[in-house]
Amino acid sequence: MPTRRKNQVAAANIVRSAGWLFGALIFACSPLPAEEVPVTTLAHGCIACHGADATPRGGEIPPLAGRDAEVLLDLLQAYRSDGAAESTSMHRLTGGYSDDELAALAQYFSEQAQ
Amino acid sequence: MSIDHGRRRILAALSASLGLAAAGLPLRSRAAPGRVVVVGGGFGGAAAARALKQLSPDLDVVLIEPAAVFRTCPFSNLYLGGLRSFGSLGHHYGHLQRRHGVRVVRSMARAVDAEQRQVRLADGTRLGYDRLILSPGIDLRWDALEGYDQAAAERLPHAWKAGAQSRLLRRQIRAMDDGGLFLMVIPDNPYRCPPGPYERAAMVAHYFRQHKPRSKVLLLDAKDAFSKQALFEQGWRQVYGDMIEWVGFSGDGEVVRVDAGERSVETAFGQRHQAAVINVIPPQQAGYIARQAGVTDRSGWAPVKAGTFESSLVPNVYVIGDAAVAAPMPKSAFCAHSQAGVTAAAVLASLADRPPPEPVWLNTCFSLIDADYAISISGHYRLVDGEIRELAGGVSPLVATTEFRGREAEHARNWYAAMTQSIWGA
Amino acid sequence: MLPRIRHWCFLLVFMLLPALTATAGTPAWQQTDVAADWLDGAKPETDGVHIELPLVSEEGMSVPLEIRGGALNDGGLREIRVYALGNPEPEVMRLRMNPALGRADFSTRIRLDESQTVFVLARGVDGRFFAAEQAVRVANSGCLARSDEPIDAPMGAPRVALPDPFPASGEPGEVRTLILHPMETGLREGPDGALVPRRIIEEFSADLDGETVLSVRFHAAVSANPYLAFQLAPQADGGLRLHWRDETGEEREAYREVKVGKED
Repeated sequence: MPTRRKNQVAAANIVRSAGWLFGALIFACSPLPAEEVPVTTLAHGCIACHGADATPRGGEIPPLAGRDAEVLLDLLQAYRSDGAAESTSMHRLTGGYSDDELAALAQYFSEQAQ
Repeated sequence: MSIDHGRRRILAALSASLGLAAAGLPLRSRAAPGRVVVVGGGFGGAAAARALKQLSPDLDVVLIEPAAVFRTCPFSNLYLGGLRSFGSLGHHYGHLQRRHGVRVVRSMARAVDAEQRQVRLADGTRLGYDRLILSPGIDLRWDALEGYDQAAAERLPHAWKAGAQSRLLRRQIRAMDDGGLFLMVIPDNPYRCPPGPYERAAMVAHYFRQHKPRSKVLLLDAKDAFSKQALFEQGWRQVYGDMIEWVGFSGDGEVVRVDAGERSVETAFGQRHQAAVINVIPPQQAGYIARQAGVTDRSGWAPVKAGTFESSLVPNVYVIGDAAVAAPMPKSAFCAHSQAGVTAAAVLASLADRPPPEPVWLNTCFSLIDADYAISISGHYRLVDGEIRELAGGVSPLVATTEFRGREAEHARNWYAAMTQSIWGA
Repeated sequence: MLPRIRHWCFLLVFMLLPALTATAGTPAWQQTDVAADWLDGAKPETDGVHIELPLVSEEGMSVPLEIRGGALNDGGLREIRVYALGNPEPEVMRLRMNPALGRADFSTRIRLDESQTVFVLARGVDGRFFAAEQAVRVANSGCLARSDEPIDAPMGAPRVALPDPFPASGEPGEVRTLILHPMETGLREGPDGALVPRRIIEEFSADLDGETVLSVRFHAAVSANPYLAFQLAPQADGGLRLHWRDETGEEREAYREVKVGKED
């Protein structure tokens, strides 16, 4: 039985690595994809809750447009490190961003008209 | 990909001769970088149209939507529970048209000719496009649950598209006697708004607690597990005691037949339930125009290329929102809006013959248990090895203060205001 | 430089293409030796059995599977085996059937650990083999998920639904069965972080008037609270006895009267 199980795994692995190799080759030969997410795409996710403008809607979620870039970046990094005690969903969402992306977002919103 | 200018001019002339000019559509500007037609003015389509104009102000963007006022499914459960007015669910297209330069055509898309790159409208007008974005939402599958057709839905409302059906269900809930049973039939995956039925249960219970305290809510579900289940069950218990009962597939919760005349349902193992009000959420499929355009597969949903949401089946046609197969992203308004942003960028790149930019998608679904008690689920999605993967995310903690639940309820209201403002607002 | 690299890439793809496409186009049953002993060199045909699963499953712990094996009264299938090679244990279930079922059509729910191709092999009364397969994309893995179910939950009371009456003598009608059971795979962690010991229902059988018409071997990939719907084509009124047994030896039984509609 153990031998058979090993054979199955080996067979499956061969199939998988062949597929992977094929994919990798196609990938290597196709035009290189842009590796950076455009900041407008990044920001599109934020405006869903924070809005695109600087109008306060009252309550809990503040507008981002026109706020200081350093303040925003500090907040975003705090959310990502899970340290911000008042976080509800922000730490779940920021977990996926790189340092550069957080910095780009902070800069972008700081440059939006107040 | 370069655009065939000759062909475009012919199409423009054709469109004009078929009465588009009369419909208020000016001829296409020759300098414009192309025309993108968006079908469906919900969270996906309206957001895509707006994003396209923002990213490329010269682009000719046409939004086709039959309704003058869009009623949101998000927060329609709050209307059922008496927490919001019906009017507050409505959003119109004036700002998109006047301030953001989207040409809104109030009509129904009847057919897509992918070969000719044209959309045919209900009045016979043909509208040429360089790229087409379909965001048609869902259609109910009237053939899927025995006894449940359009006539039956007038007695046993689905209220799974906000509008007249929501009002009908609200009227029925208000008219029923104290002590009466509210029964909801819930389908198997995939369907629009995975946590929606369970929020609705809480909102109906919210109304009962105030007006019909002896009434009960019974949920008959074709699944054995559902979104945010532990949080919902805890919230229901804490706020409404034993008012809400959920029966899953293994508890004989799958309804196989409904009888509108008798107001009763029958389960897979033969139990019959009668109720004062029955809310049937039937199995669903992509909206009509997606099926007509040939972008759906036998599942009834539209498979798409993960990075751009271009149809896997028809070139130059993109499908976003509930109609698309985007798993592990759920069929939510938030996801539709998020996909709109990514796909708008991909469409512009495609028109400029550039590779699509790297995507990122987000989701957050808030569900209200009570006026000041909400729970949420969030996800952060990226393209990994050609597939959509959830890189970060999670749900509200099971152990939390009432203050925390209250803040999430406030977040839900803020989200609704910001989201609808950023799509339909000035 | 880039064009040259591309050139090489294309050449490499070109050279490898035949081998790779051969793998990609190979039926799933050929990519494994799980059923080699059973097949014993036979090459399955493709038109004797069909399966249907969702193309995309959002919840890998309970994926609906339908098997359509056709009529049984005139020859037909005698055994069907279901495999999911992407699971920790590839065999899902085995069904042995008798012509009294009328049709070899089944519905059940299975666990899929990851995106993969599910396939069935079937053997007819004449010894011919048939195969069918379908790829399923799985959004959430179904094998390792934690569960809140109590770990030593007893086997519950079975649920059974059958036509009352069956349409006519020898006409098949659907029998649905479900039994509450955790179907512990032995692969998931309990609340304390330790692996929950394996415990699954191994055997299910259906006897019509004392004759076994269906016997099923479940494996760990059958979803919790195993659900199985099958056809039955009774010739006359009688009794249907259903029987489940799990690895610990615990058993449950259900008995239902079978009534056959009288033709006018």
